[in-house]
Amino acid sequence: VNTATAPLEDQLRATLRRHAGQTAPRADATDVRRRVQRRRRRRQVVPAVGAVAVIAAGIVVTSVKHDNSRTSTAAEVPGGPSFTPRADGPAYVELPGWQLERYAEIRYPADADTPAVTEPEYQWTRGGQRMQLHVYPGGNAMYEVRVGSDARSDAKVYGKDASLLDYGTGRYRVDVLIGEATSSSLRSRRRGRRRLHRRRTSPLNPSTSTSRSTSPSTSRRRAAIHPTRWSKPRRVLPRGRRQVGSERLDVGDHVETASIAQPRDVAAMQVVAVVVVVGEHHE
Amino acid sequence: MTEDAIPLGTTPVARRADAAYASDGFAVLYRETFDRMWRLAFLLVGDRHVAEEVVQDAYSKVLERWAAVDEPAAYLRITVVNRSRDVLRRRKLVGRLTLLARRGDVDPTPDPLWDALSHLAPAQRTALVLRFYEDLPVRDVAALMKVREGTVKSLVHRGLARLREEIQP
Repeated sequence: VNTATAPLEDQLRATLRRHAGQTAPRADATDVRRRVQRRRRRRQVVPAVGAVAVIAAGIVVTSVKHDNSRTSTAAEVPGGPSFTPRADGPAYVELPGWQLERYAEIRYPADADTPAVTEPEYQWTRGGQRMQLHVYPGGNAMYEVRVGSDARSDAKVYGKDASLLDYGTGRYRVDVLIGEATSSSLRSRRRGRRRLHRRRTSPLNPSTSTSRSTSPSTSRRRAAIHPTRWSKPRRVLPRGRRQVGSERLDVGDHVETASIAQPRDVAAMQVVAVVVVVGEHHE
Repeated sequence: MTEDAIPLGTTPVARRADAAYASDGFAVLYRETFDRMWRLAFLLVGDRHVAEEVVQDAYSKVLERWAAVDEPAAYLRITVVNRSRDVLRRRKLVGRLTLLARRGDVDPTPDPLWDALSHLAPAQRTALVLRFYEDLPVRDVAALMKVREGTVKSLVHRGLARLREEIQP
């Protein structure tokens, strides 16, 4: 096709065929079977840790000291998401033993197809290591989109299937689906009252499950699946911190002991990004 | 557009393996359609890895609904198209990740038309790919995209106009 004189339709056909002519990746049906098995396992795992991530999203408020360094693994795209480090905003997640270096909200503007989304991002340091935590809404679907965006390999984090991205410079990113949140988590304070009701349904404190939006059977089920690895509510907070809820997410133990499939060595990683994907669990 | 089946093995062992493999309808579908589905997804999303993920995800859905689906191949194609459109719609959300993933695995030859294609709205790109790569009639494109035929015509027309604007020196 003469690209100078041919009609645009013909040029487009030729272009599409040329690009489609690439060698397709090698694939096997067993990969799909494995994926389906993984997906089924995740469906079983997700309820078992349900409502844990909501704790990360909305409970502990901490005064944050930070710098404006932008050493995130994310690239900044003109017209794309904007990073907004907050001087006095809430940091919802504490990581014992690590110093919080940065808290930011990443705001993705709305477009015709998707509403605006704000995602919190944390960055801690400890002895030359840097740890990032992103909390994404979207649940399984968003998790699949995220881990599907790069060439990845399987890994194990918290004993769960995770997805490892090697940036190739000694930097890694690990995505793991932690659990689902109740529907009001990660939403604006305009719904604070509703969130308060939802918060009471936390499995970490089932005795206060008095929410009008949750049936007794639901509460009992959640209490029964209470994940013991997550800490109990913190009763005494250090000076300068205030607590607005009664639950706290403590990811420190798990992050420090996170095991990644050989030969990956967490201790050698300069950057580890653990992505907590928070789904929406509608009751 | 048809896809040739992969010839069965020639040695007795290979023949037995292939026979066992062929007895599994899903495996056959996968083997015979993967390349084509991957190419379609690649043209829709413009990224090798995302395309592979989209296609694998689509096959997963087909496998999960295997018993309930009458025409797996048709269901598969619809799923690939829908999944690709989802990815395109969410591209703003994951753009920062996909940008990092784009290394030297994309055709390095400058191609203004291909670049311009990536600037189109998801629906326009989908309509153009289905119309000019899959060579589907407008009616089939409309059925796949679950829109009216008039909408497809409009999407194609506007998509081409946008491409024309983009590639004009």
